[in-house]
Amino acid sequence: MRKYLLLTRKLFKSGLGGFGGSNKKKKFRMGNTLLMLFLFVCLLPLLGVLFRLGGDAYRTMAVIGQEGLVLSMAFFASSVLSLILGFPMLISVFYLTGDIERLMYLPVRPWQIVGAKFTISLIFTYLTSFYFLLPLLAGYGVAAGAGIGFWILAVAALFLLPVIPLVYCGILSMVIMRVFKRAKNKDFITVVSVILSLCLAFALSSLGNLNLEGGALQELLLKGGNSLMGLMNGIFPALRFLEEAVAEGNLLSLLLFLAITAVFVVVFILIAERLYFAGAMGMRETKAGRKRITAEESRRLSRRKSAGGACFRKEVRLLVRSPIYFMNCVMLVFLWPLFILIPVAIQIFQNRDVSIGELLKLVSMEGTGGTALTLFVVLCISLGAGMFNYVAGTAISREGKNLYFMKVIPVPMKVQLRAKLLTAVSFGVAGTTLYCMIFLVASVILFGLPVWTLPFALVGSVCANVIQCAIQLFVDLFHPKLSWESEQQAVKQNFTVILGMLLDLAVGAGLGILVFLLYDLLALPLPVYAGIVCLALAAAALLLYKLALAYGAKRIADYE
Amino acid sequence: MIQLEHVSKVYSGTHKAVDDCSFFVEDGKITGFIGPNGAGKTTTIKMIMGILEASEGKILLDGEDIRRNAIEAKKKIGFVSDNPDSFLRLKGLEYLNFMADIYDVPGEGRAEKIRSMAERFEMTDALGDRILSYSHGMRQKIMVMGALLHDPSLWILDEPLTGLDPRAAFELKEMMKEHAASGRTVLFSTHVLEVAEKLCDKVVIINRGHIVYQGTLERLREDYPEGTSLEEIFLAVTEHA
Repeated sequence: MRKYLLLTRKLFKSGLGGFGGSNKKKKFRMGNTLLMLFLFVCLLPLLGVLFRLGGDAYRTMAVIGQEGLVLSMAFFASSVLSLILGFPMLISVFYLTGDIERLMYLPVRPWQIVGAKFTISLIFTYLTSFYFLLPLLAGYGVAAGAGIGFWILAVAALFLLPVIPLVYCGILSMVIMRVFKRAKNKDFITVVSVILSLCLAFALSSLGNLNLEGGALQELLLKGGNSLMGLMNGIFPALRFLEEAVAEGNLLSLLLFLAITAVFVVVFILIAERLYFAGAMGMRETKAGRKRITAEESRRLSRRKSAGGACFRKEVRLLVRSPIYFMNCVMLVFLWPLFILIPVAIQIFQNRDVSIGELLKLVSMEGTGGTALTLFVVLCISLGAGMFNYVAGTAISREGKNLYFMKVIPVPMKVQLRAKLLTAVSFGVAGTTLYCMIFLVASVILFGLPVWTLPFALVGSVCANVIQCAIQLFVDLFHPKLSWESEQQAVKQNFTVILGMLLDLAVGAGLGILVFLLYDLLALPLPVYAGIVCLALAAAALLLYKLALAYGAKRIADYE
Repeated sequence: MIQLEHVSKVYSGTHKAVDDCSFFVEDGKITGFIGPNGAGKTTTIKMIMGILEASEGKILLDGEDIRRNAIEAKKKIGFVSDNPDSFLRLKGLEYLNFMADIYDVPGEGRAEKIRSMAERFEMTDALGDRILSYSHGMRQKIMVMGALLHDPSLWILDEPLTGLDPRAAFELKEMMKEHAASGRTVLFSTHVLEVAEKLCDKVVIINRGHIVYQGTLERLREDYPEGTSLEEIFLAVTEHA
């Protein structure tokens, strides 16, 4: 136990995956404090929304005496959130961080390493689960005029709730890594398993997707034995005890939930003892084929390319081949349609009386309204999906201690930064513009969408991607995280990324609203208006691109 | 030729890491850059490489000012860092071609050049694998190969022999000798005095940011009684500075 605590303390100090790193006390930096403060202020509005949601849901359900269901749903949603965020985090922390080899030769048991890593991951999970659940519970408690008992039990629930979802993630990651121990390309296995687990988690959340409007909920309750309850009890069988504990102030139920959680943890530890080392040994090594390169391959690779092209290729290869970079910076840009399609498919499957043919008939794109809406949706997707593209937002941070290399090589800084920006934009365009264009071409053929929309959609979408990526690059240039021990720290424990995402959100929402309002206000023919919007976006993109490169060249020269 | 004229580096406005440093690295010679930990070696090398900007003074690389004409100056350098853990997800051959593109190595004859270097370092069968799968010594070798692809006139190495097996260390030393013998410049930093003694035509010793000696080791020995070891001489030079 003492060694577990020691490891936990050490890991906590150095961050996820930073075991063995510097123990120097961090200097107080005004910039960091202001950045955290700014992030907190940015996140306040959502806290307010969640607080109101908790109160409103309580009032609606209290009418029919089912207020406890609000807590059940909140706990279920929070658990699914922990599942979605937990699996990529645990698989990275358990198997991909640079500290594994330094930990494995210490005289400690596997459960002590896994336990320490699990504890730190749990603490990081609290950041998101508290952010989501605390305002909901507070809204509920205030609306209910709850006494001190409720608040004490609610706090206990906040701490206990993410444990079981993380245990699920931990066990799943250990089983996958044990099964695929001899796989040649472990990086690929890791990425595929994370994608599959994300799809599964989104499918679960979609199955449990509920409309919080009173009428629908009441109807659902009257049906009795509905799918949500079955699902919640099936995946998280102990949740009802937690709901009883908090809603009714039942201490016995809390103790029962605590006992079940303890059993989960014990099982997890027992599995860790048997599986962890078997999966983690040699995890950081890649199999070397030691196969002589063919003359053809050598000739192909030896074709001369421009310095900018070489930098671009290098960026793409490193992003795609490093699982942590791929999962955190690239993957979501490509996966977002899945997260829309899975819930839609499930809804259609659940409501078999809905005919897809009838639905499609409702979509008429020949009219100006439909065409305008289509173009607007393309713009919103291109601006919105940019928030999931962290390639530019981590472009400098990913260099870490190797940033010196950018200064050593005889390639102008602007060329190198252009390659970084182009990489980010390419991923963004592949994940948004390409999808949109496929959809639009299909719409032109199937639903009679005017062909002239295609070039406007293309230009608008590409420019939106350039704008979002340039903003993220600006933020990362301004405050990069260069001191890290593992790739995980560079991209996951980097608050600058969240700041870039929030700025993208603000700019995306602002642009979207502006484009929407001006359409009504100016009352121009749609092709003319679309042309003006494209020109304005192109001008903004060009300006931000030039500014980012100029600022970047100066900023990197100043880093010492 | 590398020339430093009254170069200083001040950190945070107060801490002078390098103070009025002037030395000259001649063509056709191997020059060792020696000093205890924290003496200012890395800072000086970083300034020569253009990673840090000198607070005062001038640095010329084959006559090109690293500050005024950075790109042209950097093209003349082949640099081997003390940390070979870079670009680990690239294959060896991808890394070499990346470096070749960066340093404008013509496509014609590039494959043959890579092949001959790989044979010399016994890396031929490893070029198709990711650098991540290499041992420390192999990573060091691939970095050395990348630094030499463009036939730099100035070769700068930071602790280059760390982690190399005896054969690779021998090859590297031979390559440094050949580089210098062809009239080009080699500057390398090291803590290993025996290596400096065997390899260097000249040494530059830095301590607490000041150059305390530059010249041949034979000349340095003349100031001390016969039989004094190089280690003792080094300690005396750095202690009395």
